[in-house]
Amino acid sequence: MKKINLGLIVLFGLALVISLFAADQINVVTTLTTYADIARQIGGDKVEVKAIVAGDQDAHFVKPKPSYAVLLSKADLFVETGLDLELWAPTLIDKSGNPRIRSGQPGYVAAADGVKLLEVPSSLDRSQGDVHIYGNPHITTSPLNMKVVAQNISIGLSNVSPENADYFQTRLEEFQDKIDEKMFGGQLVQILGGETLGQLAQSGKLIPFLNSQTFQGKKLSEYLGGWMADMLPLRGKKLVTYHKNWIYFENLFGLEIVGHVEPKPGIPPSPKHVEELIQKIRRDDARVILAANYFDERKVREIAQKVKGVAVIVPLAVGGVPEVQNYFQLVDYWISHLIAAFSQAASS
Amino acid sequence: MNVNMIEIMLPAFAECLVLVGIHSYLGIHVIKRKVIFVDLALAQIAALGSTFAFLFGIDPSSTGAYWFSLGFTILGAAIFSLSRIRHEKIPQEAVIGLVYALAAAVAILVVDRAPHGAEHIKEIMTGSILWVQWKTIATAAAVYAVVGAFHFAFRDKFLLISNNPEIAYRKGINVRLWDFLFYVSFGFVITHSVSTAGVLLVFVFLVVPAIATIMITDKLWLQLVLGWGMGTLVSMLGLYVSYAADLPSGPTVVATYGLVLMTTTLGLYVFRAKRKIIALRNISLGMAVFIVILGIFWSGGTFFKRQQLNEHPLEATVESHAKEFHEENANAAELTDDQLQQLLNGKPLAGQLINLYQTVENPFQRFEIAHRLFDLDQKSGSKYLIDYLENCQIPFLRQKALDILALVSDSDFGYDALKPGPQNQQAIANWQNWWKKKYENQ
Repeated sequence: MKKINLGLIVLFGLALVISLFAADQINVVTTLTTYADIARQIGGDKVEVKAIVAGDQDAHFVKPKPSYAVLLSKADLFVETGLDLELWAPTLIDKSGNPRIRSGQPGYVAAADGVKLLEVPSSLDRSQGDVHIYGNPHITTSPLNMKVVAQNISIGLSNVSPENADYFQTRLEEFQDKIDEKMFGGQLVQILGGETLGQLAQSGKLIPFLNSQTFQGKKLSEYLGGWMADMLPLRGKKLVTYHKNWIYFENLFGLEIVGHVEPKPGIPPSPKHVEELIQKIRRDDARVILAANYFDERKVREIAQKVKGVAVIVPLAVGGVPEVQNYFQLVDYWISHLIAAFSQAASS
Repeated sequence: MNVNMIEIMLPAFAECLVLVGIHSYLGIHVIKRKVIFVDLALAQIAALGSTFAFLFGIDPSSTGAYWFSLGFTILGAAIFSLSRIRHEKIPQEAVIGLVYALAAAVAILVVDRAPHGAEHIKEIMTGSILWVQWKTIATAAAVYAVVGAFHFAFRDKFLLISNNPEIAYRKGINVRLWDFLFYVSFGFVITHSVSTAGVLLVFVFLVVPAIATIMITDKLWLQLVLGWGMGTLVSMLGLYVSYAADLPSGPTVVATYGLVLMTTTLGLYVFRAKRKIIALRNISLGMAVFIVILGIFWSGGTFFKRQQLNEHPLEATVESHAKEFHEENANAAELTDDQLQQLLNGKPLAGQLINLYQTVENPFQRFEIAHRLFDLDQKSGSKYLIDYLENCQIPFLRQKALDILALVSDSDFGYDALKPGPQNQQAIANWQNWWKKKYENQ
C-alpha cells in the first residue's frame, strides 16, 4: 500500500512538473533551421522551437506531410522568410487551421521584414523564368541580415508573450552584439559601433574607409577582426556558385561571383550557358565553385573536375552537417571552407 | 562554331554515340518482347538502389552506391523474368508499370527518411549529359562492349526468345533463365546510361530507332545499321539545335528524336501508298487540323488570361502584389553623402551649418558639418566639437573630434575617446572651461 502511494506521488509530481514546463513554453515553428536557431537564441528556455525544412534540404521544394500541419496547428508563433522562397508555407498555414499564425496576425513573423533586399528585379514580369519577384530571398547568407531577422523574431515573441518582452530584448541585444563582434572583431565594434560598421559593410565602403582612417595613431584596419578580417585575403576574388544562394554573402565580403552553374533550379543549363560559364571561369580564373549541399554532390564535383576547379560544398542552413549546430558555426564553416578552397585553387 | 563549343559538345556527342550503339540493338528486343517500359522500371529500381545506399550515408557517386543499384537491378531482373508466364492472362506491361510505380513511390518514401535527396530523384529524369566526363564515357563504352559481346555470343537464344517465345518453349530452352540473363545485361546498361543521360533520353534512344527501323525492314542487320545511322544523325542534329537555340541538351535531343520519327513515319506512309496524291492530301489535311487545334488552344489561352485579369483587377497577378511591396519599402529621402559634400564644399554660412547640424541625424554627417564649421568659425565649431565629445555614441568620431580640438589646445584634458560620455565627465568639464576662457571674451 505504502509503495503504491509513493509511486503515485512521484508520478503525480512528475506530471505536474511536465505540465508546468509545457504550459510555460511558447511553441515556435520556423521554416528554416537557421531561423529556428535564432528563435532559440532569443527565446532561451521560454520557447520550444521546431523547423520544417531540414538543414540540408532545398527550401524551394518541400513535399507536404501531414505532420507539418499538425505541428503548425499547435504553434504560437510561425517564422518564415516572407518572400517567395517557401511558396508552400501559406498553404500549410491554411491546412493547419490555426488562425493565430496567419500572415498579419501577432503570431506570424516575416523574417525578411526590413532586410535590404538585393537583386530586386527592375521589370516585374515572369518572362525570365522563375525570377524571385521581390528580390533574392536567400537572406541568411549575410550575418548582418540575421540581426534584422533576430529583431523580427524577438518582436514576434514579445507579441505572443508580452510578459517576457524584457527577457527577449536582452537576449536579442546579446545576439546582435555577438554577431557584430564575430563579424568585425571586438575592438573595431568598440571604436565604431555595430550599426555604423554594418551600414558601411553593406554599402561596400567599409574596407576603403578602414584603410583611409586612423584612430589613436593606428590605421583603423589594424583593429579589424572577426569574419571580415578572415575574409580580407579573399576580397575581390572571383568564383562561381551553383545557384543564386550567395549574393548577400558576396556583397558583404566583397567577393565577385562571375556565374552560376544552374540558374534555374531543376532545369539543366543550355550549352550556350555552359560555354559562357567555362569562358568566364577561364578568363577570370574563377576556379572555386561554391554549392549548397542539397544539390547533387557528384554533379558539382564532376563539373569542378571538368573545369579544373575546386568544389566547395557547404550547408546552406544550420544543421546541414552534424558539426554545424548554430548560426555562428555555420558562418565559420562557410568561411573556413572557402579559404581552404581558394588556397587549394591557387596552389594547383 | 568555335573551339569552346566543340570542347563542350564533343563529350556529349561521344556519349550519345556510345548510347546509340547498344540501345538501338536492345531496343529491337524490347519492342519485340513488348516490354517497352522495362527500361523505365529498371532505371527506377537502380535509382531506388542508390537511394537506399543514400539512407546508409553512402555517397551516390561512390562504388558502394553502384553495387547497391546493381544489386537492386538484378533483383528487378529476377522479378521480370519470373513475371513472364507462358500463357499469360495479365500482360507483362502491367507488371512492369506496377514495378515502376512502386519503385518510384518507395524511392520517395526512402528519400523522405534520408538526409536530403529530392534533388537526387529529379536528376534521374533529365540527367546531365553536358557535364559528362571522358572517363565516364570510356567506362560506359567498356560495359556496353561486354554486354554487346555477351549478346552476340548467345544471339540465337536471345533472338529466338524475343521473336518467337512459343518455339523457344517447345524447343525446351529454359526461357526463364535466358530472360533473367537478358534483363540483368539490360540492367547493367541502363544503370550506366541513366546516371549520365537521364531516363528520358535513354528511353528515346532505346525505342525510337527500333520503331523506325522495324517499320522499314525485317532484317536484323539492316535494322541495326539504320538504327545506328539514325541515332548518330539525330544526336548530331539535336545537340546542334540545343547549342544554336540555347536549349537544355537532353530534352532537345529527345524532342528531335520525336520529330525525326514522325517525319520518317509520314515519309514511309507516302512512299508505300498506292496513290501518292491521296496520301499527301491526307497529310496536309492532318496538318491543317493540327494547326486549327493549336489555334483553338492559343485563343483559349488569351481568353482565360483576360478573364483572370477581369475577375481580379487589383490582385490579378503576383506581379502587382510585388510592386506594392516594393513601393512600401522605398526609402524616405535623406541627405546623401554626395549632397552633403557639395554643400560643404560650396560657401555655406556658419548659421546655415548650425541649422543643418541640428536637423541631420547621421553622426558621420554631423561630424563633417561640425568640422566644416570649425574651419569657418573656430568659436562655434569647437563648441559643437566639444558637444560631440560629450554626446556622440561612436568612439571613433569622438577621437576625430578630439584630434581637431587638439590643434587649438595644448592639452586633451585627460579625455579618453574609448570611454562613453559619462565616464569622461571631468575631462568634458575641463574642455568646456577651456572653451569659455578662450572664446567667451571674443
